[in-house]
Amino acid sequence: MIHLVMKDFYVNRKYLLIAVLYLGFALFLTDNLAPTLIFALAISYGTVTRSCYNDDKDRGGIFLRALPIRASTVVLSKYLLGLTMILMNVLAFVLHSVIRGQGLETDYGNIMVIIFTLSLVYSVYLPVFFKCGYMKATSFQTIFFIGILVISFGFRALVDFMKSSNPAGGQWLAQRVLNLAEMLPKDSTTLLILLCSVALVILTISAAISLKIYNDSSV
Amino acid sequence: MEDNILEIRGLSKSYGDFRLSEVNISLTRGYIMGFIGANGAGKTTTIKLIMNMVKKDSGEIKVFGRDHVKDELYIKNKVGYVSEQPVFYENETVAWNVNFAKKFYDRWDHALFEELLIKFKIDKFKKINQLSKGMKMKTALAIALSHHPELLILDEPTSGLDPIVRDELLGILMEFIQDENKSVFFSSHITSDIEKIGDYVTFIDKGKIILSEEKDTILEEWKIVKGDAIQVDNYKQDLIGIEQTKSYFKALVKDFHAFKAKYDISSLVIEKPSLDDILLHLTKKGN
Repeated sequence: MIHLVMKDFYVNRKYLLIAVLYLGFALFLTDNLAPTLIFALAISYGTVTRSCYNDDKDRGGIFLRALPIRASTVVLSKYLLGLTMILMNVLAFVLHSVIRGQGLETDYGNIMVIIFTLSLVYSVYLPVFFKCGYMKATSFQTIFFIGILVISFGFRALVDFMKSSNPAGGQWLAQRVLNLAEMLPKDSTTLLILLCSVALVILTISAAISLKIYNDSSV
Repeated sequence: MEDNILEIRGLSKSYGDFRLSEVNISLTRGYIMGFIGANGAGKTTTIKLIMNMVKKDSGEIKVFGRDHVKDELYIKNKVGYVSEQPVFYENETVAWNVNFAKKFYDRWDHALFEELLIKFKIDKFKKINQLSKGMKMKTALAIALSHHPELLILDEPTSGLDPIVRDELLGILMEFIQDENKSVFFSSHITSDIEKIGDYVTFIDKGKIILSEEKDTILEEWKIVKGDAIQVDNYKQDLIGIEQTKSYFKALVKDFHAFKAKYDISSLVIEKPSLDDILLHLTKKGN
């Protein structure tokens, strides 16, 4: 499996080199971590989608299926690539905290966002890629992102609208959200472990779906 | 050791309007089987099914006596496969593609690969997208041969190649088959290639196997008969794929010895058919 992951890194080497240099520059030379975090998420998503693009463009599916490689190895290698990207980002942020002499807790929020967001993105993208190929999966993912944004901003707008038109209903909805937030662990380390566990479950379910799709698919 | 290196029984697969039905093929060790059919007849689908690149609907495929799904890794380690348009990572060099592929084979022989590169005059430092179609095909063949396969499965390997490269390629296959434990299964719509090197011929039309037989037997027993158009009704029941004009008819006869014994053939013109003739007459509408 490691050969497949190395292959994905190698065919993306130019893209990754530029991205890593830029990420390093942004992490260690600027104080504003919000845009850096978004950039880190984008390059991690980009690395996996570009590896899928390269497989699709060069009909790598046929190349790989002609070789003595298990279907599960091909499928899981894409997830391993995703996990490697998550790990690299987490390490970059940990390194950032250490170099800056800050406690690790300062970057917990960023690390949580990286782990959870990327796990979710890969979990949605990869089964669609194995089913429909790069083009359709990327279009689907764009619609998925827009959907998430609409739900995020739309929910806030819905609460505001309900508060103004139906104060009791709006209050009830806002309270439910607060109650949900209350249920989350207060301790950031526990919360991080919880998020990692949820991310792992999502990735496992997604990988099982991808494997079923890959086994049933034709090249 | 199993009798048949490749054994297909009752293989079926549906794709929208296309249906591959009840395909039966057997290939013994030491022989080359040509798989002939028009474009879209089902050659590539059959080959992809053997390679487990496409999931079958029903039937059985055994390679080296083993199930092609359960023992996929074992089989792929001993099969050299080349597709019609050889597939590589196009922006990378020959050397990189090979270094990637070789890690997955148990019996990769790099010295043999280097030898084949020299023989085929392939520059391993060239990027794949800088190679001609013929060179790509030779590269794919070099990879397919370098893990000491016992069975070569080639999908239209000579299609789109110039006659010189085609001839070279056929020579390589002939050399490969000198070891009597090895076999070649190759599809083509260029019947002259199969006529040159094939031991067995399997014809496929609209997803069905219409003939699978030893090539020499086919070419000996099958004949083209030509005669006056008014005579055609006398022979009609034993003629295949009749081509008829106002003045003459031309058709294929399956068992010429039986035909000769049954009819007076003194007024007919008898010709030896090519595989092309056989394919054309067998696939003629109305058969």
